[in-house]
Amino acid sequence: MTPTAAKARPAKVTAAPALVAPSKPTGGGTVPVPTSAAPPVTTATKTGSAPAAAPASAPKVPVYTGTFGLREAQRLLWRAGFGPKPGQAEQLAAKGLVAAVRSLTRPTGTASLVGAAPTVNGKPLAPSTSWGHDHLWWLDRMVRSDQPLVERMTLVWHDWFATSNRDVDNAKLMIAQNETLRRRALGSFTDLAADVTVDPAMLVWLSGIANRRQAPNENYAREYMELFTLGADRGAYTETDVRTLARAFTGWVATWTDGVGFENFRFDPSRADTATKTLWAGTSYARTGPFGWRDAARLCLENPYHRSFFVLKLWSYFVPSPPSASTQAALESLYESSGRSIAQVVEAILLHPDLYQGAPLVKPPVVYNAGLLRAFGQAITDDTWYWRGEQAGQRLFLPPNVSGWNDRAWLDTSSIYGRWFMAQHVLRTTVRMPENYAGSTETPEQAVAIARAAVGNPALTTETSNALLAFAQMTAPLWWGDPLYRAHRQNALRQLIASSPDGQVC
Amino acid sequence: MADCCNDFTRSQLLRNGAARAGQGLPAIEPGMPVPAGTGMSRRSMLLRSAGLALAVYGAGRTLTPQAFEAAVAEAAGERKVLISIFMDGGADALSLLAPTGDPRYRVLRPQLALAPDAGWAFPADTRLRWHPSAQGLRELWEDPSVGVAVAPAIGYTSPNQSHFTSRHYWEVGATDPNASTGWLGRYLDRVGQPDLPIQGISLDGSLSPQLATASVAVAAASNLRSYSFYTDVVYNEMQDRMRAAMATIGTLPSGNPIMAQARKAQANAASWPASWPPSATGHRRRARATRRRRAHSRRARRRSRGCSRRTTRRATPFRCAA
Repeated sequence: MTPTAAKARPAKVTAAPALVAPSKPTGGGTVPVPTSAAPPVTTATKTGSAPAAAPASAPKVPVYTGTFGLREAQRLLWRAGFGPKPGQAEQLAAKGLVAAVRSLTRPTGTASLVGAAPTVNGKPLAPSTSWGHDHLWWLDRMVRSDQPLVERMTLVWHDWFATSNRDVDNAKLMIAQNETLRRRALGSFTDLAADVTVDPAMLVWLSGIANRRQAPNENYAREYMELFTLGADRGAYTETDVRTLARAFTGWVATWTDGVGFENFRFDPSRADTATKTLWAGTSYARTGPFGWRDAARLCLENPYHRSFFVLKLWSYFVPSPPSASTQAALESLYESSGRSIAQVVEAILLHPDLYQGAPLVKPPVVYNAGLLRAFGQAITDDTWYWRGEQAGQRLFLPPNVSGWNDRAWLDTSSIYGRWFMAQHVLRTTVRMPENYAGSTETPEQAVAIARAAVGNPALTTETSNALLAFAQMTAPLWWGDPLYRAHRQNALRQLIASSPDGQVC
Repeated sequence: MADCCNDFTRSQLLRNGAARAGQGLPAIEPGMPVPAGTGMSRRSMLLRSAGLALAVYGAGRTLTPQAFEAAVAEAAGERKVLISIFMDGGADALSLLAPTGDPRYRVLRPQLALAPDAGWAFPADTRLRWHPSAQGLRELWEDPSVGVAVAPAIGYTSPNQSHFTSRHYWEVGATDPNASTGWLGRYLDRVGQPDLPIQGISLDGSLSPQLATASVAVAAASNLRSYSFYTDVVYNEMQDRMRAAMATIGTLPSGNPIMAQARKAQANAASWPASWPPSATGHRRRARATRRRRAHSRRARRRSRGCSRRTTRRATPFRCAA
């Protein structure tokens, strides 16, 4: 696992004149790029000339100063985790904004899984061998981990570096990748990108093990620049750079064993292209050297187009509207000055006014699912969730392609069907039976209130509350001489609340 | 459902990123001739496809014409249906219909190039030849009762080699990186009805981008026969009213585009069973037989999932057995 090419790293790197900053560190991947080289941001109106970037006057990311009450705490828990357990939003609100955010972004030690362990047919999960158990295994972590943001960021990285078991065809490798994403979830993006580059599942998925000096394969190099670090069609790289970067990524190989699959992933110097290469030729930030895979992974992060790509893409997982030009600039500055710290950028986004004042965000299907289980305090006791997740449009470890899930498809007639039955399945434990329903004299108003409380008092818009009350009233008079039917009404109300559109966004 | 998603989403971001394809590249590589197939008139294509229910690109042998017929009959009864099949993946057009006589072809495909007389002639454009492996497709193409049309040499200037950009252009039917409606969706926007989701269905877990509309309702469902909303211990009239409430909540207006999307999806889902089209008797008989077959396999599947607890509509109020 010690590639020789990596050792030849910085010595022969000849940066273009504009980048030969005297203070340039040689060891890490944290070279600040002069702001004059900063490219325009795609969705903001900012131009190439950022504010003067003297560290002392670095722009500050705005911090939300409004009320931090129950609503805000709930939103924070949905965006940075998987929704509140009963009472959790109240506890978080009492901490105040900054302490609340830090309790998520600065976890200490390893995560504990709180509550009953998952089972299927009374037996523990077998995530590497039983179909669908990989999904259940991770869903369980989302439900039970006491470090929700770590799990949420792992999900972000699974989408960002989307790898599918459809082609990898080895749940063990997929779970190993998942552990890597989790370990690096809030660390430095430099480390994360390097680890992902030589992650076995990724090496299979994007043909890294087929990429050798004698026959370079561009798959990983192209997606690394297009989807992972720089973005297409921004002028960040050319087709020539794709080919050059592919050569730099050469050298990794694995052994195929019948009945096992690929194993023994290793770096083989005889397959690595050690020739001198030039990236971003003709630009002020061109780099030349005998680059290997480690350099290739890092140099893309030093490309001046990277930080704006990173900040905007990360932001989009938390806030459904683009940041202002000044927020974008401040986040970029924070990203560079912090040594590409994921935790610091996420923390700044979670403190930002746009998160609390802006529009709601669609809950990813698996987030909605985990949130239901958390709200109801339920453990995983059967395998329903993986195929309901599939119906709702999100089966973990099987993203549709390397660009991740299409969040525009998360609320249509088909995915709504999956979400409805997620709610139905979680409600099965609270179903009211007509024979022994105690609420047989309840009024429509009481029925709605009881149903809301039974599903964890989720936030509902006034118009939805009114529609629920209208339903409770309308179903009352006709055959309601028989009080037994009030149990049916109660069950219907709970289903309508738990699966309501209001609960699909946060 | 595309009208609600024109704002900033992660997918949109990627799409914008993958947008201005090929900026900065030369329009056509120097020395590149006009590709073979370019001269095929639009009219000849339309003539070949006129009056046909299906236009299939690249159908494999496993998709038999019988399968299409069965699908059409079930879905539409007496009505005409257009089925669009998108086969995920790629085919090398230069191999499928190869310009074997073109000297540039050998340069671009040094390993794969066919011999000048390999495969079969393609009468619509004698510069092209069918690949030997495309025999099934060629037979369909030559059979006037099937009427396969092909569209060779489709492309756009300055491609940036991104799978996502090209696929997006194909889906929206335009080289517009920001287009958010599909080519089928725009057709439905013109001729469709506002609240009839059955008029455009993706038989898939999510809506096909081709079918994305700006205004009228469309739908996606991976299994039409089991598409029904129920919950435990809610029966008969209460179940109908629950579905009506679901539709009511779905049609509540919202100034927020994301909430509006969530509601619209629910409204479409709730209204779907009611909008299922009436059909002819023969179709009903066929459908009943199919339903029986499928119910059987569904039960088998449920058993294998360990999920036997499906609540069905009952004529009498539920009583606990125990």
